[in-house]
Amino acid sequence: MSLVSLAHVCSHLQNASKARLGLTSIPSTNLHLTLAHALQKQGFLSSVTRAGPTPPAPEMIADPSSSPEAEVTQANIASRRLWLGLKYWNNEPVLRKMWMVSKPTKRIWLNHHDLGVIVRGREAG
Amino acid sequence: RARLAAEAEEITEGPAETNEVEFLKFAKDPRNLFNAKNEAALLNQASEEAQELPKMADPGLRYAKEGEDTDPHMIRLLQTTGLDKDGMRRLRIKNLVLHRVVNQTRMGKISSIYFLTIAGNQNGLLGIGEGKASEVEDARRQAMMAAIRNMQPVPRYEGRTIFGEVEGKVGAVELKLSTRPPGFGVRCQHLIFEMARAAGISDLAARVTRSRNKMNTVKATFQALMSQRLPEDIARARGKKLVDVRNVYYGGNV
Repeated sequence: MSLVSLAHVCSHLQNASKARLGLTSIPSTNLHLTLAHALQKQGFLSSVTRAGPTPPAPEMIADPSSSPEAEVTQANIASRRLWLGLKYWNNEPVLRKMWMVSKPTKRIWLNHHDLGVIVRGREAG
Repeated sequence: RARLAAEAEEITEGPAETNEVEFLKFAKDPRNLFNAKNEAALLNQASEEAQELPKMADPGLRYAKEGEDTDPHMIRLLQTTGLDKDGMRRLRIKNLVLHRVVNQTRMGKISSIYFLTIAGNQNGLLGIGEGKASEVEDARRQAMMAAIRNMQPVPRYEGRTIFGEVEGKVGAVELKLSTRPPGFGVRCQHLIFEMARAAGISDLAARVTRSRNKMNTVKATFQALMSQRLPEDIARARGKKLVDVRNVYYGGNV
């Protein structure tokens, strides 16, 4: 499984934040979806919507089930993209920097114990 | 003879000239020609000489009262900052950088003295000011006043350290200030130490990576201290609830 796409997502979101975009899109994969949900849960993204090559309408972002275009079929799945709503507060982007910890130059693996140590703030590195 | 001449003068004022004399007497009395409430003012008009103007101090000159400051810059500073002499004496003011700068003109070398001063109230306010003049006293005073005028609040965690890690870059100076636990002390180079002491920061670590130019180090430290991001602002931006675990969960014991 390649993590190159995640590095692309990091760069893209940083660029989009710098350009003060409201909506931006990334390829629709399960990995990207998990990442987007995690970012939204932590409050860095305002919305995560699956739509086509063009940005979704505000009604579709607010209530995805209402719109008929939300349905993913064999016909349209290849063109689906995840549209992420970016946040800005006090003239500053909320999602400012985003980078890969495990890189091709140095891979990092963690079990749940080590993750717990980091989450509890015991060790930063 | 003189007496006779005078008597003769008196005698010559005969009935033909009596009218003239009487008219002159009438004209001389201002009460016949003018009307005024104040008798004194009326009688003053009688003389041909101009009145004596009332004596007052020259409005161009300003005389200092007893025990007051004469320097207009100092007065203006006290007005704008709202401090009094006592408040200003309680500030911690330190000259960090002092050197001679020279400007080469066609007349020759014109040298000035440059001062970089910091001012802080040791409780969250810090300012830096520069002063440049031909005389040492002028430059020092300029720098001190600029520093007091530029005082700004510095965010502090628990009033003793900064929030997280901050970086500052001015010119070729790149430095990093880090928060430290209570009791650590200000373990930094002398310039940053003085600034932390003036601001009221008691736990700090600093690393100056590149150049160590004194003037730019001071400016970079100030920039770094002002660029702190408060956790409350970050929490508000992300829409998350913020709890200071050290305070709430561990009761300040960790």
